[in-house]
Amino acid sequence: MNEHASPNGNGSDGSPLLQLRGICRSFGHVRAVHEVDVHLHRNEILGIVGDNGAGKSTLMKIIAGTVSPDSGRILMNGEPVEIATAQDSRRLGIEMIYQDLALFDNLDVAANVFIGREPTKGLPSLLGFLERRRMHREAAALLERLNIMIGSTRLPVGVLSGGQRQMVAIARAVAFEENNHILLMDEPSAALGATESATVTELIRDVRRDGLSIMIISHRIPEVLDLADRVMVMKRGERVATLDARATSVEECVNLIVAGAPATGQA
Amino acid sequence: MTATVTPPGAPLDSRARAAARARRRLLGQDVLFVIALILLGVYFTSRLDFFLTSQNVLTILRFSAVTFIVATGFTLVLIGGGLDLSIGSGMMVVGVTSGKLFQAGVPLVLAFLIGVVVGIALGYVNGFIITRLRINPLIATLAMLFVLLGVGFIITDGRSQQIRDDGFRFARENVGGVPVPVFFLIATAVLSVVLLHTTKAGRHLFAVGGNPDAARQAAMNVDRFRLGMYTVAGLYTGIAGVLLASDLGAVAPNSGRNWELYVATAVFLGGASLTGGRGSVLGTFIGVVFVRTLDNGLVQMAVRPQIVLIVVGTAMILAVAFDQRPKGGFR
Repeated sequence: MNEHASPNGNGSDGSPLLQLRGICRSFGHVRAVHEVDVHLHRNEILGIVGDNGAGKSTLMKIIAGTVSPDSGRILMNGEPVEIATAQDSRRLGIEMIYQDLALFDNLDVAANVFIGREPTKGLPSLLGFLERRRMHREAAALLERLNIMIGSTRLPVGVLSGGQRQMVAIARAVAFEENNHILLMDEPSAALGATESATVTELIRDVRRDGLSIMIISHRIPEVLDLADRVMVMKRGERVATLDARATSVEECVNLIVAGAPATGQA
Repeated sequence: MTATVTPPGAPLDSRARAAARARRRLLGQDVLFVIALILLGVYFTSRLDFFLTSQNVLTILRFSAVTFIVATGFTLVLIGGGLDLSIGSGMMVVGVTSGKLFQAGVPLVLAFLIGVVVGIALGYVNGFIITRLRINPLIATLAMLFVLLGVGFIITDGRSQQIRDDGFRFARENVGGVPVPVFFLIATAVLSVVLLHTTKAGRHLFAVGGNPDAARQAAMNVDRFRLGMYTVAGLYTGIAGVLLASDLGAVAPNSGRNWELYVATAVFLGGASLTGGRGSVLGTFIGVVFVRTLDNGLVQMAVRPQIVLIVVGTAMILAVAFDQRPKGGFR
């Protein structure tokens, strides 16, 4: 399990943060993911590219616990872990941002950031009273720390622009940092214009600088090469290659995506 | 969405303006609605000598109270992305259960408490059918409407019977000149507002109804939450059913008829939406008073009941049409 490109400036001592070994998942006769090996180093950005139906999203959902693998193993810090549900994944410090962002348009920014993890007082569990002021205060501090410009944490998310929505989703994913170290993003810039996309890219760099390790699915090859340390190419559920983002080119990636040339190294 | 290329770092004031616009929209709706209610009152007052008397206003409030309680339960269900058409039949079954028990010699308070528990159980059954058997709420609760109608007829043999008072008709009493149900209305309103807007459960209700998929991804158990939601709505149905029986002073298998219509109209007028995630206790209150005022005025003007049904049904269509009007540039 060692190879090609090593993550940029990451003196990885011992095992990688996250390792997937021989992951398979079929839907009926369709092999969505087949024998995929991949790993993510601490503080690394790994890009995942491939055509539609290459298995990128399924792979990510397996890590996020919303799809279970038919076979294969997942290791964190070298230790095997069980990810059967989204809760398991969260407990391990893995946060996933879906393409649809999974935001609540009818709730305000602070409510979205804290959803499911609201601080409460008084009675336990669901009947506890929300600490609304604290949530607004902490959400505002979070936005400021991440340089996210949104006028007020009281704005309903439904009135925000696409880029702002993406940034709220990122802010929510990184809000609870002490036990959060892997961020999975499915097409973060797919629906965004050029300006917004650049701002979101900047934010992703910022949160990596804060110590997160990130996996990103994207169709925009130049953007991925610019942002990521390594890029994994997938085709028909299999890993075709893993490339050093600085040593490869858009042409090489596109060729691999289309032609599916064999990987150098193990399959 | 429209290609509003607002740079994420857009000036704060444009964001603030968007917030103000959103607020004005909501506020505007409620204000318009109150104006419509006042116009309706003015119209009835001009046509009817007795309309604006304290006696009649109290009557409207008394009827509004029971309607409001069940409508608030209905509102919670709508906010959570559900629907309950069985409320009228549910109230009837609750009422005849309490009445029959009281007639059979069960102590008053116990008879009423059992009625409320029956309401909670009916809510649980609705929730069970919807979340565990995975049946669309429209179909599940429409079916329950008829099932409960049948149950009520079996309990009563299809006969209405007056009940000797002995305290059973407490909902007809006044305390300090105010009808007893109005106190229930106030308590329901306060508790519901607290539940909806200050607790985690209320926040999650808006989340589960606004975007169930996202709620699942945020590790919420949507089905279990909705099961609880229908059960709590059953509590509202239970209290309303007991009050209705007490107000009628009868075991009446035909009570609760058409309540779906009045309640749904009131709640949709009040701004709740079938698509979930939206609704308010205040909006529902205004909606209920509006519908009950309409009903009261039309009946006093000797408009035939059939016509009243047509008017209220039309009001429901208008309410939903108004709610679904194109929202140019809302997002």
